[in-house]
Amino acid sequence: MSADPLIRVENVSFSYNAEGGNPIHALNNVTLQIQKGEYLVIVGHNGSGKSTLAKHLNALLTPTAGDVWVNGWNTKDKDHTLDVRKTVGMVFQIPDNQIVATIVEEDVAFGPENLGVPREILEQRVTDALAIVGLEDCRKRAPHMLSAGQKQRVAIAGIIAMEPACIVLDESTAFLDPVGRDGVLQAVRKLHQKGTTVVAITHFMHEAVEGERVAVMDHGQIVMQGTPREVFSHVAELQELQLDVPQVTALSNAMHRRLPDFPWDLITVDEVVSTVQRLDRRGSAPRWP
Amino acid sequence: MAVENGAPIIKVNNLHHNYLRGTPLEVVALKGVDMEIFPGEAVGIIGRAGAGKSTVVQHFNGLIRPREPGKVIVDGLDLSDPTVNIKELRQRVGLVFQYPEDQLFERLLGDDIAFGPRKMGVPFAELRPRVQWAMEMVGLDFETFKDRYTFSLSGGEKRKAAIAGVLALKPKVLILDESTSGVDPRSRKDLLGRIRCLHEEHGMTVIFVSPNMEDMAGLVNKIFVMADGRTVMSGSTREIFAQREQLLEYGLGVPQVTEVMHELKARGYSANLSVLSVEEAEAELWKILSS
Amino acid sequence: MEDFEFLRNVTIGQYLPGDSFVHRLDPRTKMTVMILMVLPITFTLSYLANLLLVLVCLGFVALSGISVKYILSGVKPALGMITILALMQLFFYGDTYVPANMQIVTLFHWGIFHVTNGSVQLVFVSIMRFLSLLFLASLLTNTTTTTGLTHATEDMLRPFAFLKVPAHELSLVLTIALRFVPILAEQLETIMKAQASRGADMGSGGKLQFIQTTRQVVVLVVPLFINAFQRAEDLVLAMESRCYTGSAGRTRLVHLHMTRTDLLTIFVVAVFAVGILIVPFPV
Repeated sequence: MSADPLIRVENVSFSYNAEGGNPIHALNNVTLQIQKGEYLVIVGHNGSGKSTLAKHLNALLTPTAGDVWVNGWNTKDKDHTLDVRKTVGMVFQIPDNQIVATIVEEDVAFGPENLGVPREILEQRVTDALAIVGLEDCRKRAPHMLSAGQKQRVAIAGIIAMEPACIVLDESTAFLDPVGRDGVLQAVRKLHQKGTTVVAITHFMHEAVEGERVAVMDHGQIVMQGTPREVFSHVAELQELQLDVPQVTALSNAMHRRLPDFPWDLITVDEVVSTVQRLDRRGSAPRWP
Repeated sequence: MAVENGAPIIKVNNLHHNYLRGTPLEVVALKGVDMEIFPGEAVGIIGRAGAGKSTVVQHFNGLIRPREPGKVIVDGLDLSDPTVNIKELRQRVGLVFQYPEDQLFERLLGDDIAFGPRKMGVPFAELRPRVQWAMEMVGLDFETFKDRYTFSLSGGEKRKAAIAGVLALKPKVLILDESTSGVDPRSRKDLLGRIRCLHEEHGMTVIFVSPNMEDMAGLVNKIFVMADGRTVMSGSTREIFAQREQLLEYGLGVPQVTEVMHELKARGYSANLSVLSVEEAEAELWKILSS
Repeated sequence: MEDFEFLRNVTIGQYLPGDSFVHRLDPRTKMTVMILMVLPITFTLSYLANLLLVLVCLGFVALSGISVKYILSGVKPALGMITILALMQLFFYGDTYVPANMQIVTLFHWGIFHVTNGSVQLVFVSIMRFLSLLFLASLLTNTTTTTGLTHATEDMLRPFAFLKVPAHELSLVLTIALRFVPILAEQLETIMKAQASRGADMGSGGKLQFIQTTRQVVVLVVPLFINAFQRAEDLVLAMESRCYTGSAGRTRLVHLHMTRTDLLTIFVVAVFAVGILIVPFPV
């Protein structure tokens, strides 16, 4: 494990006044460390504070109490806001509302253009970014002709082109259909393999499987942390927190109650199938149609 | 004009449609769609993006009119006839779009939900009970929410309000065109439960378009599969999801537990492919393992 | 019957891909040509000169491969209004408008209706001017991508930096506006369909569709504006996250290149435009 975490969230609280003057305490004394190169997934129902926390990671919001340190810089330090945002890139929920230009390659170039990247390198950055998200063929197309999933990948490419150390995806698959979601998850996986730190915020439990570590939020606090399997095993608690588990996990839970040998924390179709085969071999011979 | 017993409430024959006809940007959306939907059914339409699902359902309430030789007959009304009373049709067939909260415009929530019935000529005295009923159906407490500012509500509440706005028309047919996308899983489950209630207890014919196969399996009895502007498969939910290979060819999947059964069958087990829910899968796995 | 496909009628602004001579010109050339042509179009009054201008513009259209029928179809929704205006010019401008070098000859007089050779000329010249401008505008936007247009605008405004003209910011505003026009148009179409589905009257056809009550318009305008503002808020967050801080220190991916053909085209058009303005036409 490397020495210093890339991002340190220390005792962060965040409150604001809603319409009608009632103060909303979105974050309540949150402490979290994000190591370089890890894939962290933050889950929680709507209103748990997960999006608010995400916006603290790139200084879009600063804490009302506590500190957020990104690569040694404090996000409250206005002199280093650009440095923070160069280090931590963010992709948002609605694909259309992130794309500025009317042609894909120019939108991908927008970020590095802002950073003053010299022209010779700009082309290469755009090419590399589009390759990672698998959209080389769409380079000269107009964004509004693309599917939602493709648009979201364009947005991701736009962040990749800035070469950040960390990418935060704030519910980036919420408005995508299953095909679009797969495309995005694939692109993110590739990015993580190249060494980029990934922080994915989602309310889809089956996406939590992608991460190495899962943090569950509720009422502005982190209430559970661990590997996906560890977290999923607490099905009852998760359901209390208004979260869902994938069908196969609910199934393995139910099977576990009937057959103690059946693991309760399976998360993919393959795992269920292999388990059935394994248990069946131990018993009688497999049944043939 | 009502429908005689045994006749479909929606009948679609050889339906074609082109968008932006007569311009250089013309695109063919439907290439001959056939469908029959009977009163009281819960029907699902699945297909990849661009298959034509939204185009088809927008014919059901007259937003798009059929061109020769296509025919669309809804609740006895022939939509090729230009004298058809479209407003009457739209009271009987309620269409909820994707992100329906985008249609909200009134300052006070109760007013927005009352908009539809008001436009349909519902007498003033009946408006309040209508709105109350619609709000209860979606789970928004009448007294708490009727005077709230529409735009101060959360996303989930706005969505419910928009759906209530269509329910307040008391339609015979309710169409939901991807109206459950973008909400968190818990809210989606809640919404589906309420739609199930409207179908089972209030006898509404429900047409459900969604990319989520698990939701489909839990709600509809019959499914139409669309691809490239045509209906390519149709049958009961169990029949359709038992044909995974066919569905894969059309870029579609099956519910996760059904997937488990298909995989087990591929490995030589006599797994029942018409399993649709976790409970049924549990029973099936138990059957397999306890013998 | 309702028509929700109004995108169909918008021909100006719609980029139609192609590989013609006009398509390949630098967008700055096309803009310059348009500006140069607007001068004679605006200031010449003679029948012959305007006819020549229309024919030249038609020539450009032919060079571009864009169908004339398509361009003219964009006028259809406005045809009623145009006819009314033309008739008003014909009947009521008779004694106020006569070209400088002509005598007033009354052709028809009845009460307030006063048709002279001047007003007839006005009507014909106006129609020809309208056609020339329509062809030029469609030509520019139908053969140039939106990015071409915005980069050309930025480049052409840059020399005015000493006047504190924010070239980059203006071009970015233009880019974002162009980017969101199709999005908001689709959004409007969806909102119209949703409200129509609830029983709202969406102007059931007819040429007088533009006469709507405020109430009907609120049903569309409020959701559309709310939507637009939400998108704007989101866009701001996205742009800030991508370190946008204005034009200072920015580099650019795309650079436009003028070729010899471009310079030649501009020269020829300039000569032609000046010629039209100077040459005394008999009619």
